[in-house]
Amino acid sequence: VIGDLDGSAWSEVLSAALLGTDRRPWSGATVPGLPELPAGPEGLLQGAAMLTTWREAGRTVAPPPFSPPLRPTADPRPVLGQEPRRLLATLIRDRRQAAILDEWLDRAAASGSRLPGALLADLVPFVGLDDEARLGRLRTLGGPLLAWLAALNPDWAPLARFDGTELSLDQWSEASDEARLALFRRFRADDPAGSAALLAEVLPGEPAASAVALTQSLSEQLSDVDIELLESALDDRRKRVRAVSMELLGRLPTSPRAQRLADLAVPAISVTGRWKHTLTVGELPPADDAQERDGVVGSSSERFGVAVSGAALDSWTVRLGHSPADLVSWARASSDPKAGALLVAWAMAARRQRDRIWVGALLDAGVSPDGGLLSVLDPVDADRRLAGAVSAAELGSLPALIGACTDPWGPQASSAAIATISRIVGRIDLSKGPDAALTHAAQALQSSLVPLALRLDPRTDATPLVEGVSDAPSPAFWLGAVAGSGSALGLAGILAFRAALAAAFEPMPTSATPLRSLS
Amino acid sequence: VTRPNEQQAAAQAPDASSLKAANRLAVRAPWDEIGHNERAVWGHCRGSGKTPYAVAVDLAGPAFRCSCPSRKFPCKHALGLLLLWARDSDAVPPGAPPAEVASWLAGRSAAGKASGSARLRAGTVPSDDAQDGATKGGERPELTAEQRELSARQAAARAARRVERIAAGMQELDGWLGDLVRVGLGDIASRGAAFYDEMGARLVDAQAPAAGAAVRRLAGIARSGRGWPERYVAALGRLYLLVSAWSRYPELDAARQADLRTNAGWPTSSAEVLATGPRSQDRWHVLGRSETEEDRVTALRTWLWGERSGTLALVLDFVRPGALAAWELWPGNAVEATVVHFPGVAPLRVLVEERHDEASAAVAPASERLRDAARARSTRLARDPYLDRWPVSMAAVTPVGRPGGWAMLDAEGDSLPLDCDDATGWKLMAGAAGQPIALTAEWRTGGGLLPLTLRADGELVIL
Repeated sequence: VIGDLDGSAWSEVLSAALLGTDRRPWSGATVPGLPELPAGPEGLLQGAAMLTTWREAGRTVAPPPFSPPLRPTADPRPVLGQEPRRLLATLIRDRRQAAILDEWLDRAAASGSRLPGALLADLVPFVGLDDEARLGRLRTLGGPLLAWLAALNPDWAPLARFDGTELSLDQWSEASDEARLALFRRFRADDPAGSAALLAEVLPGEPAASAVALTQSLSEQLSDVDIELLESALDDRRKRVRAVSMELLGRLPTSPRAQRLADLAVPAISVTGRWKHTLTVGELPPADDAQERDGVVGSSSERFGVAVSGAALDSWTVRLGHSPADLVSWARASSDPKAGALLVAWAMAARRQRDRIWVGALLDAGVSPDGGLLSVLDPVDADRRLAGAVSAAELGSLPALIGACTDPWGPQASSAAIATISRIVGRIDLSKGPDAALTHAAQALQSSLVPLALRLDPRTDATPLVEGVSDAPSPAFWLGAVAGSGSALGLAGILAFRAALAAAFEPMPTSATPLRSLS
Repeated sequence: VTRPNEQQAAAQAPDASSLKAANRLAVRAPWDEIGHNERAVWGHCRGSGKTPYAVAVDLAGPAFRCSCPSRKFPCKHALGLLLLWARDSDAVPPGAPPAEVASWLAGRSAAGKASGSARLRAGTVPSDDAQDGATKGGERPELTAEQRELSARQAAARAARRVERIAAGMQELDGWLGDLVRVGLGDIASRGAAFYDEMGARLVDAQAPAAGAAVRRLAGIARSGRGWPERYVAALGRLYLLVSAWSRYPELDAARQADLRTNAGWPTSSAEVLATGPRSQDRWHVLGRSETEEDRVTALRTWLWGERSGTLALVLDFVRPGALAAWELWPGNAVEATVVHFPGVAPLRVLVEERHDEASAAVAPASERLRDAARARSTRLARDPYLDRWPVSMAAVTPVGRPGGWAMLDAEGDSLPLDCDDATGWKLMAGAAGQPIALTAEWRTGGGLLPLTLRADGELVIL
């Protein structure tokens, strides 16, 4: 036997050193196979030197502290391409804008490929665990490997979200709230009508939060088969269930509620005059219980808004005998102050009921476009109309327009935005003394440039704006937001990065870019 | 010289904000008159001013040049150019450098030859000079035989004086260590850094800076939490090992003397190593790199494994914090090269003298069994008790663990502990997915094994 195998000599050295040889003299030690450890303080140090070296040289393997976990299910998907991975590494390293990360996640999750494990482990902390929409895409991308890691790592538990695939409907009553919702979603995807019938059966017994979530989940694949359930949910004892049902019924113009609200709202509008038509807005009938059931409550203007925005749009044309275009233009021309509220409510109805003719009529009449209205139109038409509105915009109106149109912009609108901003920037001179209103408006535009860059078609050429800014009267004011400053990317940098992103995921069709029209 | 990859180019950045700024310039738009040849890459960068900046990067080095006034080094323009090229080789066409770049390169070559470092074409800078305080030689005039003998005698006298000064410092340290164990370590944990500063400073004055740094590190060990007495006494033991060996310095052979000098903080100069050190040519695989902050500089260790000889070697560079030296020796690469060994009983440290081909990606040699890796280290420790780091390259180990406790497991069911943060631990788990992976690590004396790289899905990941 050689050395201090049981560590007893080392323990003696340790306690002697802690106590001090003045208090307890060190009398040396004998270790088999090593020279005698001498007494005294020098001897203690010599013992420490010898044993430390001996122990260090003796470090070797040990039995495993943990058994290796079971392996994750194999993931047959191909590994995500080199370029998308490189761009992700850049995003993570430079801590780039979260919105670009969203675009990356969207594209990567839709690409049908998987991420190498080490990169996935870098991505999770970067994405964070608090945004459910991102987690969903992360789960898609991570596949079985991520589910396996989430089961091992308590910090990643939110990623192990239950997807309901192992449950059947028989287990409804035993399943957790989360599991029932997952189960219901899966069932609904296969059988929308059956799912509505199921929900009608179970809804009264569901706890409030789960009842709301289940009802809300009808918004996917919403159709006329859901009307009966939603109409009966208007009598639900829980206010939030009723509110969600009303919101969903607002999207279904064939529902009885849409007809009841039409009965209420259409008679309040009258069109008079044979050659020159005048639109007048009257009062709703007095409030009653039936109206309250349909959500027509509150002040008279609130009741008017609910009734008009919930009424089936067809009923205006059928009952008043005029086209949407005529009705909208007369409302625009009306001197009645309530006509403004009428237009707002019509626009809301057109968005919810996704009625292209009404949206077209409203936009033709000069109602300012927003994301909801444009999403109803076909992408080429939406792009053309937004381009028109952007080209006509000025410093005062452009930031609001950018703020209202949050969906991806088409190529025409994107180019128009670059041209319009260049034009506006070229006219603003902030050096001519203090002008609070001008400065305020300029700041609003300046701060909307980065959000805009995340929406523009990534192929847009930002060069005219970069050049426009350097020739502008106040270039320094715009430079940061356009060309970037310090570590922040400006509009041009974001566009360039997004163009690289689009190219990296090239084989995947980009839903944001409309097909070129044939005309 | 090979084109760097993006990671290698980004590693040249002095700090994160420079890298971000450079990233914005790493697109084709702001550049004019760009080009590259096998030695350099150059271009003009349009900035906010009227005159574009003239930018050039000497890839042998690397060295950077830019006409901008930035005090960052390299500046965002030079870094941006390198990044642009690293990302997209087509963006920078091959060509002949403009006159000013050509003359700058010629000037650098001449200066390099004069100092003898032009031979270090793999870009490893003989940088222990920064630690040693010696000046890098310029153009030396021809000396007569008499002058040469005189200067050799002067150098020997200087060396003898330094040995004496270090020995005196070690004697003081001996007394200081003795006082510690006489009084006992009971309340040593309450002592601040100041308690160690005086002894540390005296060792620096005695021209033994590495010993001084080891004394200063005791302050941190005393406050390192659970199990600190064991680590503290082990550190005292290692210091005493050095002290007692210095008392016998004159009797020892040259190799042991060199080890003692190195551990006191007096490494052999690169010039001397190049002049006298033994050479070996091999195909050197880069196992991994580690970085540690040491007084105002970053010690960058690059671990090599010679394919034919099985020799393990260490390239040690001292660089500015955050910057990395040459990208030629990048983990996952192999290069046919001649290295020069530092003196010592079992020295790991080498200088790369000459590269015989382009570095190319390769799978590094590796051990199959953790037991073998541990035995190789034990054998080396038996010869060199001052060994403080040792590389481990495993062919197939499975990472296991949970927050706060990570380990690797080989096919025989043996394990060694990994010393890494939890983020790295999960990265290993994710990369391996429960399967055996290739892994390299740096085994630190008195500590655990720090993972350096992993190879999974056929790709090397630098941790």
